[in-house]
Amino acid sequence: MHEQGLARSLLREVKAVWAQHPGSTVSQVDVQAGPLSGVEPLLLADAFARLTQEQFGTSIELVVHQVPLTAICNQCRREVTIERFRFVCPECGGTRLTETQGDCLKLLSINLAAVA
Amino acid sequence: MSEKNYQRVYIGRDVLAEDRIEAATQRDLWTRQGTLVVNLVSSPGAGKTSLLEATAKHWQGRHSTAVLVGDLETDRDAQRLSPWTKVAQLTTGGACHLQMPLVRSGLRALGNPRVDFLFIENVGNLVCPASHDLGEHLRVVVLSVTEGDDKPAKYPKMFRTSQVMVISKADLLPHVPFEVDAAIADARRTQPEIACLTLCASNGAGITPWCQYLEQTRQRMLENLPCETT
Ligand SMILES: Nc1nc2c(ncn2[C@@H]2O[C@H](COP(=O)(O)OP(=O)(O)OP(=O)(O)O)[C@@H](O)[C@H]2O)c(=O)[nH]1
Ligand SMILES: [Mg+2]
Ligand SMILES: [Zn+2]
Repeated sequence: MHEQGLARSLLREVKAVWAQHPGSTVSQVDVQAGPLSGVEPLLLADAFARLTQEQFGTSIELVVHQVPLTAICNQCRREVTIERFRFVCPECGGTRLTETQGDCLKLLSINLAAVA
Repeated sequence: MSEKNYQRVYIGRDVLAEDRIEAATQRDLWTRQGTLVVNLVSSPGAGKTSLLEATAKHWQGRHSTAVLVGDLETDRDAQRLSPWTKVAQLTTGGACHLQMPLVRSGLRALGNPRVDFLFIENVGNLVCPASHDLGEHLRVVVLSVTEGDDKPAKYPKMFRTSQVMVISKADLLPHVPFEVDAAIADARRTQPEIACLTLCASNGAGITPWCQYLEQTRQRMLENLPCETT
């Protein structure tokens, strides 16, 4: 259910970029997601395909790149990988960590093709 | 005109960045007007409304409160709360979580009151509300003992993004296999800083410490405010 809302937000961002490139079509969209993004890659790609099909009569391919969860330790300042949602710094045991990757849906890039 | 008929535009931005900024701005506004905002999340029926009834009763005449309560349908929760506090029902239709525009419209319906505490009771759902910052100062996840102590491990995002875990319906502990310590240990693996309170809205056990916790949090918020020049 949540994926539909995210697909709409994503399409809004894509349209804003697209509007700055007249005479082109969007051929592919790449996003990054991780364990705390609240995104199921298959469902998101499917929701995006349906939404674009509905709006443009042809679906735009969404490529979801999955990344591991990483965080920076506020105590030792090292960047660490978080395994199985265990938010304790493996280096120093610090418990205040700030996510640096894998906690949101990030729009990476948009492929534009010139209209034939 | 470029020779290429193909081009890749790099963005690298959180799709929900605008929402995050909007929430942060709203939080700032609430901080400056002295309102502590609490977003209550849980699975359906964990006891959010019961906790709010007990809280509002406890504070009658001592603190001003307002509640925005989200449900897919009916205004039953608002009716339950209306003897004790200002309250607006937000009906979401099909939506499984609250978002900022609904919160704003609820506040407008109440006449944008300046209260000490604003509670937002989210739609019962341990998944989607985790991804939506409503500008709250505290996200409180309510876990009732009948749901099982494995929920913090199963819904990491909700517990990771919460600052407080309330274990509710403590009166039922003798009747269900729920290890309070196990639930707390799992929650702290994901969110080591999470504050944990065990209480029972039906008989009032633990309501006083819960209310004190909120009062202290608000006090700290007020003390950290930049001095206003007169
Ligand atoms: N035994 C017991 N029952 C409780 C307690 N708190 C709430 N309940 C009961 O649990 C049921 C659900 O409580 P609510 O307060 O409506 O829960 P809620 O989280 O607001 O539910 P939704 O808004 O529908 O998600 C009701 O039947 C309450 O009477 C408690 O402390 N002990
Ligand atoms: Mg309720
Ligand atoms: Zn560390």
